[in-house]
Amino acid sequence: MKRPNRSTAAALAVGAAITSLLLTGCGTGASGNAAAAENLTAEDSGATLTLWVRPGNEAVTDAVVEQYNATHDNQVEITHVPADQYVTKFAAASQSGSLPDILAADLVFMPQIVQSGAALDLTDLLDDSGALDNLAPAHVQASTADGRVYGVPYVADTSLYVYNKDLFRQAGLDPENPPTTWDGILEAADAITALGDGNQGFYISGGCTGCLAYDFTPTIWAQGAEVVKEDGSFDFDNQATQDALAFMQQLYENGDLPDTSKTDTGDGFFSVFASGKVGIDFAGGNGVNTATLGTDPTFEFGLAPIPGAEDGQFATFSGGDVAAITKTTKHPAEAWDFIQWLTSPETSEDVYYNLPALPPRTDVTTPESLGEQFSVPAELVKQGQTYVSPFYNEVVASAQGPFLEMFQSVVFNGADPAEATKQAQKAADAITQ
Amino acid sequence: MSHTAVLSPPDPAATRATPGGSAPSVARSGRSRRRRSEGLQGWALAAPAAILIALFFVLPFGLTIWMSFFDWPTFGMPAPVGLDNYTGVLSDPKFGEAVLFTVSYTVVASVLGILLSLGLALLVRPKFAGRTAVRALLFAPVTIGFAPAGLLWLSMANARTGVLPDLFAKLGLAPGGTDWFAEPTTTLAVVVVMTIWKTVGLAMLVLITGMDSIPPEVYEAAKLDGARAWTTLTRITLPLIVKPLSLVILLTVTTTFLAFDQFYTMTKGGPDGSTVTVVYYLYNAAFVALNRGYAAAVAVVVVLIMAIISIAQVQLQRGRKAKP
Repeated sequence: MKRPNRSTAAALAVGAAITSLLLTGCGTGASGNAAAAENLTAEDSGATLTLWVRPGNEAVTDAVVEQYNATHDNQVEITHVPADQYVTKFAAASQSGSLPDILAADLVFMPQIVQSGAALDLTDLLDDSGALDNLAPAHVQASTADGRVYGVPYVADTSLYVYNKDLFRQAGLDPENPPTTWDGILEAADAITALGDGNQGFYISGGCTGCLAYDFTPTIWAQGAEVVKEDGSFDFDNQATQDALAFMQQLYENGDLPDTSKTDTGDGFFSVFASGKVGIDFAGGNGVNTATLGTDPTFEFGLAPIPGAEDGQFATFSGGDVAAITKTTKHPAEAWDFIQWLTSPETSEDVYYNLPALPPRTDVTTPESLGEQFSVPAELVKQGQTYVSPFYNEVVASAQGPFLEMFQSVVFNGADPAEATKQAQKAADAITQ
Repeated sequence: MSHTAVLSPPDPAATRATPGGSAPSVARSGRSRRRRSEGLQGWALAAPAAILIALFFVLPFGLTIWMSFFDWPTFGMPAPVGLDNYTGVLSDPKFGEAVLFTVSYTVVASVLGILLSLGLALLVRPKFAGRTAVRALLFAPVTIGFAPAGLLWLSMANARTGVLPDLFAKLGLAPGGTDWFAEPTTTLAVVVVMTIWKTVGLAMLVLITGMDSIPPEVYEAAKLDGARAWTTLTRITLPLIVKPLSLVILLTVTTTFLAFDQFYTMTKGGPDGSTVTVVYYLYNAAFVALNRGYAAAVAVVVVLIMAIISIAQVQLQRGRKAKP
């Protein structure tokens, strides 16, 4: 190799100078220029508001904005940001001062957004408008830091299980009394698998981290245990998690949960159940709605809460999107006008239930005409829980994270739950410390 | 051959030994002026490329090296940490596993890919009816990206709805309903087959071009001497396409070593984290853990590994050439 000559050295020096200039630019964080939140009054002045949403929930996000635009002078312009790039795009934009007026993010990413200081404190505004105590609690929990609230529910969803009433009947089970304990689920799943003809008693997307967070975590919560501690670190090495894993392992060993679950990274979340060959599917309310609204299902199905081991125990992950006003917005009064409209009881009743979709507010009555497909999730949202940890992405959402490894090693590879939770704890602690 | 003399550059020794140097100082100053203007011309011609390389390679790479000495979280301020990121990378057993997996994947995919491209090049080189169509068909997969190709094969190999497992079951090659992505070996096999399908066309084309530049007289002479097909291949074709073949080997090895898209779309690193390549590890550090300083250190280590592999390859080829 050649020794670098003088001109190479000069080029390197120039490069280093530019690099350090760039770095100084990178160092300046988001600086707020919005008016103090407590002095805001909603304005419909005809401003154009920019809004970032993640794709997947357009049926709600875009339809709601359409309604707002049709009835207001302010106009909201939506940008769809790919879900797996959301956090990095957000970080880049917040450093360069190019965030939109309103951010709508997956609620699991809200703790990171709140922690970065990019969102406007909405606590007093929501308190004055009367919305604060009547919003989906998991969304508020995910948007809260030190008792202050920075975001509101925009898309509400909740995990639950769907079951095939036709298969229940064939297997001699009562379709109007779905199982309320793990033993009940096992019994029903075994009976349906025993029908043969390719029927499977149980399904969960076992290779999809988001789906497992959504549908497996409630089996831990239902026993009264927490998965995330106050400081955002994780608690896996406990009896409740071990029992929940052993329950899933049993379903796999009994042949109720098919092998293909292990590699299902989310595409089978509801479609496997829709084939009509699955008895019980741990899924989510919106997934069911997307798949069935406006279609004519070929079999009858019901919805029920994800239970714990004992009768009377149940829990739900309330997911969806949270909307927040950024501190850098040039139109805080107009952005608040949109948020105030979004969280009003009228919007929940007239806009959301007309779509139909689960509303942000929990104090409105679900129209009877929508049936159990909406009444069951609407009740569950009121008790929804979520992960509040800035380490969610690395520990839970990553396909190489400890959460998926723990689940798969026990359920599909027959590992000992106590050993697996110990390993997962060690790996999670290494990340959060 | 007669035309080589025309193409060879003028002998510098001949220019130096200019006869009749009665005024050496004048001649020298004229030469140096010419040399300087030639130098300037050279810089001017190289400038556009040099600026592009500086902007899109030297600068980002410099920034990457700089970042690798910092704890650089996506949110919050960077803080210098010295060599911590590097010791972290080198002591993480998962990085070691990723390197090991990537090396074995590179060996399998490169060897199979190069042999197959050579075989295909030999097959479709002679004239036959529909040759252009066959070549075009073999080349077609090169024109699509790795991500769509990965998704296409993922759906074809899906255990529930894919055509391939069904076909294998009907042919009696595998039991029905087998999930190929549940086992590390079959998962790797599907990805390797997809990668070769996707890349073999380009390597084949480069090799055909090399083969076409061999003068037909050489083959005729060999035929007259009674050389058989195997001898012709090993004694004539292969030695005469050494340059395009080295290019194919270098390109195949580097692109295979840097594989990411096909694993991201097809395996997500599974099953049980058995198919995480070094670039996938880098992606996880940068975009999942959002730890940019650590990811930068991984990138620098990967560049070093690539440099070692490339230098080793070039040295090996030089060594081979040096032998009589």
